[in-house]
Amino acid sequence: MRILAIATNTAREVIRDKVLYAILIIGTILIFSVRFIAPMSVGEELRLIRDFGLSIISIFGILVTLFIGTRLIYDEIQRKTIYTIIPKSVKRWEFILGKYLGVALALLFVTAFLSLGFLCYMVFFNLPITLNIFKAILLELIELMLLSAFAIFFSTFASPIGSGIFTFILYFIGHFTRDILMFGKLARSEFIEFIAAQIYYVLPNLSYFATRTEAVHDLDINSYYLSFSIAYGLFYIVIVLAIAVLIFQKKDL
Amino acid sequence: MKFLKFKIILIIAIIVGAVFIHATQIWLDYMVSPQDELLGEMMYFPSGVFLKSAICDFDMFVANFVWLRAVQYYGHHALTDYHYPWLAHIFNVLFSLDPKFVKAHRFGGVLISEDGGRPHAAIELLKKAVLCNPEIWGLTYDIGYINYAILNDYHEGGKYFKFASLYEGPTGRSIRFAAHSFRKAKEYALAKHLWKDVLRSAETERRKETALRAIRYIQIEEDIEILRGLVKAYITKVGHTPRELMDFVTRDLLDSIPTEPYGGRYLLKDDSMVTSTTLLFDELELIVKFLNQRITAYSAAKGRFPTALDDLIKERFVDNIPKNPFGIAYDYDRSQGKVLLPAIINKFEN
Repeated sequence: MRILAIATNTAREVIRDKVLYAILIIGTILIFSVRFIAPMSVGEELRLIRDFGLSIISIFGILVTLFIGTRLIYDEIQRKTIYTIIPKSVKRWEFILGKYLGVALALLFVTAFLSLGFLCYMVFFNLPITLNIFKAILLELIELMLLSAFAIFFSTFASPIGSGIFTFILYFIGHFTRDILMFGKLARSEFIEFIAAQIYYVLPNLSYFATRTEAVHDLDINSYYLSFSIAYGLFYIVIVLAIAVLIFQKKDL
Repeated sequence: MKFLKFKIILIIAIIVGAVFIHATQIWLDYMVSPQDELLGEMMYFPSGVFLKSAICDFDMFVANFVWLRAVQYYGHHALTDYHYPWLAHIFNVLFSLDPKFVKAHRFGGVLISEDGGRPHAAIELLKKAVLCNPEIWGLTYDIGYINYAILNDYHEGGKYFKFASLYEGPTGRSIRFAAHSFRKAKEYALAKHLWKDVLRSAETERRKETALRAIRYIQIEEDIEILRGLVKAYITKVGHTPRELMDFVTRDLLDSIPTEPYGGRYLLKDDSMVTSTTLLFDELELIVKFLNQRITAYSAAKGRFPTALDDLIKERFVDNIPKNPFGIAYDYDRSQGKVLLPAIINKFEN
């Protein structure tokens, strides 16, 4: 119950943030602006519109995570509001989990808002909407949720700028881990290959959630892949939040 | 008062600065021509592989912009200098970013080979695209087309058309192009085999007729090729050119003269060239069609038909009257204003 209260308050706080409105308005305008670019694509309008829409949802979701997710805990400490919450029999893990769920709810709102704009565009211009588009959006949401878990994790010990930078670097590396594994194999050194494999398995592989190509080209995103990717993301979120709680428990407030 | 003065100075400084920046920008834009700018942007993409790693799985997003840039790049040069040094590079970057963007790869293949004048680079791009999209027969078809139409490598062309036909099926155009390409490569057995496949799967009478006609023509070409080889063998053996094809039989080079599939016969022309009555008739048909067109133009201009075909030369409707492939005079009906074809053939056959 206490977690839910923190989560709803956090979500409300995020949704009231003016930065979020700016992000949503710009995102929606960008989705609709593809109408002006599409004719230049020489018969590839549908491809351009689908990809542009899905990419905008993802990019603006990342912006929300970076601008808002990394600030939440720091702001509570800075504004000293945390000192009114923690002593009131709210456990620290409940606080972290509540904050995370709040961010997740806000991300759900952002994704739903931008997706609605995108789907309205598709319906308005009578463009085909496939199931793959929904699957791709779902996986984008899981990716954003995982990224926000990392943002919360970093914000337990770093400043908003620091955790923002760390989260962004993690996002970049998360889409690069497969290459790390390949580089390890190309190095022809067992030691480097071993290290590369460890890095690959420790860092999150965010490429699993990037299914825009499949959605745009109408390639199959089978249900096994979808469920395993979601499971992978959720397990990761649990682990990252658990570590965040451990660090936060030891934090001297 | 002092603060107000400072504020005014500051505002003036901002305005002057803004004007200065604007002027500098205009000057810089003037110095950098659109072409240089475009080139610079192309050089910005050093490698598609690098880009792919750097853009965090937004491959398609970037690919779309590269695609728009590719279209602009092509359009810009098509309207100015017809010079496309970066075309292959751009489409290779595009391939690295989105191997499934088949339309762009096909478009790029055609542009690189035809406008860019680099057919081998186009084939390389298309081969990579085929590896990622083996089910898209159009890509293999395009490789066949570049080999056939631009490189004039009919064997390679036929090979790729045939490969494309495996996915397109026996009723498509790839198999017909493959057969045609192999025929041009003088690989007659393979060409006939493919046309027989077309014949078997033909769904219309017209398609059947086309296939049958092609098989017969290939047979004619194959026979002529053999007979031409025998002319050389005859000269080596006897020391002079044969007078007629039956000489091959009398000199034991051939058991019998092959039968022409259309019921005509093979001939040895004056210059020891082997041909067939069917091919000569085809040539004659084209000449007669041309002459009749010129006669129509003549009658439209003069209000009467020419009294003889030589009138067409005199009145400058033709430079000369092409020689009748059968070596006989044209059957010109001055009352109808037409060169008659069947009469000529009847004369020949008689």
